[in-house]
Amino acid sequence: MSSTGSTPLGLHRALHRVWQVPKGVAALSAVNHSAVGRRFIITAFVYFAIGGMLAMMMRAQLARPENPFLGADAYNQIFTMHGTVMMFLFAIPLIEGIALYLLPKILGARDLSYPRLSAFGYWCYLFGATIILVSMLMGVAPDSGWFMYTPLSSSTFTPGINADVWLLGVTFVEISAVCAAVEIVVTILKVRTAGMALSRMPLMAWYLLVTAGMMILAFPPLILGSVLLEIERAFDWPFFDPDRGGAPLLWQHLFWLFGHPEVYIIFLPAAGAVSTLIPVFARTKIVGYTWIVASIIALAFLSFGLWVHHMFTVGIPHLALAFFSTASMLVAVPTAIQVFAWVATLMRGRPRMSLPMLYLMGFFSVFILGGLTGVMLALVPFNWQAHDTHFVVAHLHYVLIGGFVFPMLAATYYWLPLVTGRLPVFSVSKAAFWLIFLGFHGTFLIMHFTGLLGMPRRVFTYEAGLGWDVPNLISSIGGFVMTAGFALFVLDVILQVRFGRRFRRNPWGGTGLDWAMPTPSPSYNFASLPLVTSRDPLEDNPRLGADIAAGKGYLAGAPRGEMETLCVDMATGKPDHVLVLPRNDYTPFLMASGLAVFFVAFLFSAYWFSLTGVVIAAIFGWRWLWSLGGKADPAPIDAGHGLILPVHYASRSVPTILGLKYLLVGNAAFYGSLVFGYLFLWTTAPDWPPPALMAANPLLVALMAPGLAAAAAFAVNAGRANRAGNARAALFQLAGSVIASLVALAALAALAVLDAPSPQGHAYAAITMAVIGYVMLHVLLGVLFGAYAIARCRAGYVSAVRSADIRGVAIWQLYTAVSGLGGLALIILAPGAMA
Amino acid sequence: MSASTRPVRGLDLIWLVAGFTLWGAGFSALYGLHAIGCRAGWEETMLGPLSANRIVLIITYLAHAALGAALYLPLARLAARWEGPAAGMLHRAAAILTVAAVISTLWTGAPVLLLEACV
Repeated sequence: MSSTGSTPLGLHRALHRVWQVPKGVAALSAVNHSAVGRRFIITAFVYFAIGGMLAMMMRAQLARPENPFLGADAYNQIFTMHGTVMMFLFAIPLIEGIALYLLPKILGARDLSYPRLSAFGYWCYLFGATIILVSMLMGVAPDSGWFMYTPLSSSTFTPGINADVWLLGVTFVEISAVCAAVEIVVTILKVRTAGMALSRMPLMAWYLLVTAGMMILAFPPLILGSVLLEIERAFDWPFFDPDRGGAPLLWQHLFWLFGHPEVYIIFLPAAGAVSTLIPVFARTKIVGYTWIVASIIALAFLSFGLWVHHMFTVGIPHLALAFFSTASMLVAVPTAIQVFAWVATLMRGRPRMSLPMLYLMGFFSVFILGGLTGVMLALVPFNWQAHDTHFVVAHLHYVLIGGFVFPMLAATYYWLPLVTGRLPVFSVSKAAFWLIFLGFHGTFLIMHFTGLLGMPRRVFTYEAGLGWDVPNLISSIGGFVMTAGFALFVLDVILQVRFGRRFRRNPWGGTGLDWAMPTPSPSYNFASLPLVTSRDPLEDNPRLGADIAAGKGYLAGAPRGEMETLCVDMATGKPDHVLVLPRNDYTPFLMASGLAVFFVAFLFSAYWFSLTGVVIAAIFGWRWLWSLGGKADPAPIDAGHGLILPVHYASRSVPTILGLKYLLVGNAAFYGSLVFGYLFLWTTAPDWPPPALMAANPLLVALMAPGLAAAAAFAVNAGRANRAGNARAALFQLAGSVIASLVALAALAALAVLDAPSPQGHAYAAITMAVIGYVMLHVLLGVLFGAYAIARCRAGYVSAVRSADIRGVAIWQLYTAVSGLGGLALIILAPGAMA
Repeated sequence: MSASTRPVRGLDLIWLVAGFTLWGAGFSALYGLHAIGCRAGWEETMLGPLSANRIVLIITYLAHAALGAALYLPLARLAARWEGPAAGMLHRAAAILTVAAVISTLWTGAPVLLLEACV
């Protein structure tokens, strides 16, 4: 590496000027990954504290039989909120926060692929979580359990807004999760430093890549379920009402299609932290890197084949139960491979019992016990006995606290010095560990027996003399001991931030790029981007941090006054373009605010007013898209060391297109779940075939189907014409695409109004209308995107080189055509088969 | 780089997920066909000693296992041509996952050979 001639301090000042995060009110515009990641993490821990307090109220209530502390209504809200807060407002956002904060640092990048998307995700999370929290303070919190089973959560049995708070608030938060997932996948695949081939990626990045892929596929079924249930509650479309051809079990399927992968979505990043920390503290390399990568991928797939094991008692045929039982047992294998790899690493190395290692030992002992009771519950006969008892509560806490909280506490102690630039000086952390560890077992070990003695979940009290008094009292005492441990943990973090011992670099002896930067880490992470030739760059060159700071890598400093980082080939890590990142921007905050207006208005049944929020969000969405790219073909950038690279929007592999593709994968999961719902109701629900079937007017079909196909064909041809340099032809093709979409849209609207039966009458009509609505929404968005691309062409943002706008429209229209034609075939042909 | 070798491309990563995607397709097909067969009364239609329902399920089961095993051949042929820093690791991981997916298909679908379908 040759020197750029600048001093480290000079580079730092130049970079800081460009990358600095604003303070005060202007902080609302911050999009830097460290700032957004920290916000996610801190907010998630606040919700962890809230969830913990709710748990303490439950334990106080259950400490004695027939305790008058809480009534049934309050208890219902509290246990529902405890689960909801811990799963949706703590665990997932904490994962997102850690991923957003860490990823660029471990990948050798300066920021994420779409910084504004992460900021938007944070505001969606904060606003959605606030809606849920405020509902609790107002006494109208969700009270149907964290999985909101119908018909309990239907309007008949939950007539207030309690269930709506959950459905709308959680959906708002999940928008954040999907945004983060797309961000994480594209960042890991594209935004890495030079030479970081996939085989040289830190294991943590593999874990987060797989986790984010799972989030893209797992969250849409729940979003769909929430949308359908909210529509049922708001407009009386009976998707889940068995009196009108609906099925409560459809909700359970959609929920657990999300819910079981969710367990692994929570576990995998924590396991990533374990795989990162163990080699550092064992002072050796990880054993079985390739096997671990393979086992993560296998685990991700298998986790999607387990959802029915939450439904073993609902009356599903034995053969179907057996499929899910075998899959539930099988999933233990890839998990065990990771555990064996960790144990082998410890055996090969010379472990030192530093503070993070203490928490990892806690993880091992707790998580393995949780895994073993998981295998017990995978066995159908045992599951039938233990279902809905406190045994299940104990099991899930062993898995989630063992598999997530303990590793995350270890990770916090490991990476906190990166945030604070300080190390712990007091021994509070060890006392905190022992209180948490002993309190945890005190609470949940005995809870297995409480469950085996027959105590059901979700009961606010119990009679004396059933044998549950003493175990419950012990659990409650253990719970308060554990809480005291968490309070000490918080105190310890505060002490470290305020009084911790300063250090220079790499306090734990890590070998990854995260410890090759100054601490606390600057907003730009690296003054220059290093060339990586192995999985352990700091071991190869212990002076790497100093070399980076001295500008001896790529893209040293900020000579063009832009925020730049490298994008690489997915597999090989060879640099292929320079990503010029957006500056701080209020747009994400304002767009999320628009969505907040929509969700709050919908919550209070102000349906027409809620459209105002959609319009606000759309305006800022348009502004966001308009700010992408540039009006002239940009000159290539000299990245240093003879490497000349194009700017991202003049590259074929621009991250925007990759992100759009992954977003459509999630969208397809949503649509696939809707089609599953249609087929499920058809084959399983009572009162099918329905009394009235849709007979589509052939003229409308003749307009819709060719309209959808032509819209896609025109858009694809627009891309070809643009690539050939024929801008005028591209414009005409785009106009053709918009007109074809409008024709299809009009025909779809006519189908919905004239031919489709009333959606309130029967679940068949409701789900048919849902399919039509889905297709209509996509055609409408195709019209808007086409109009946007035309405007961009006319304003000079598009050329043969700068083609992302047109390519994006083509991809969207292709997806709309395929999904639309498939959906129309289903709803038009199925009635014939039913009849 | 010799004439027969080439760097690993982004699209090659599909081999990391191909086997288990097929497992997922087989798993879904078995679950779905089982539901449809029981609803449509295929269990009552006997074709020799086996019901039509069971025959459909067994064919689906074996077809997915065979397809999964067959995936290994193009993987081995293609991966032998990969070169560059990621080639060896991705080849090994894809091979492990393809074999694991076949074993998973055989394991999770095995109940179609043993249990009553619509009870």
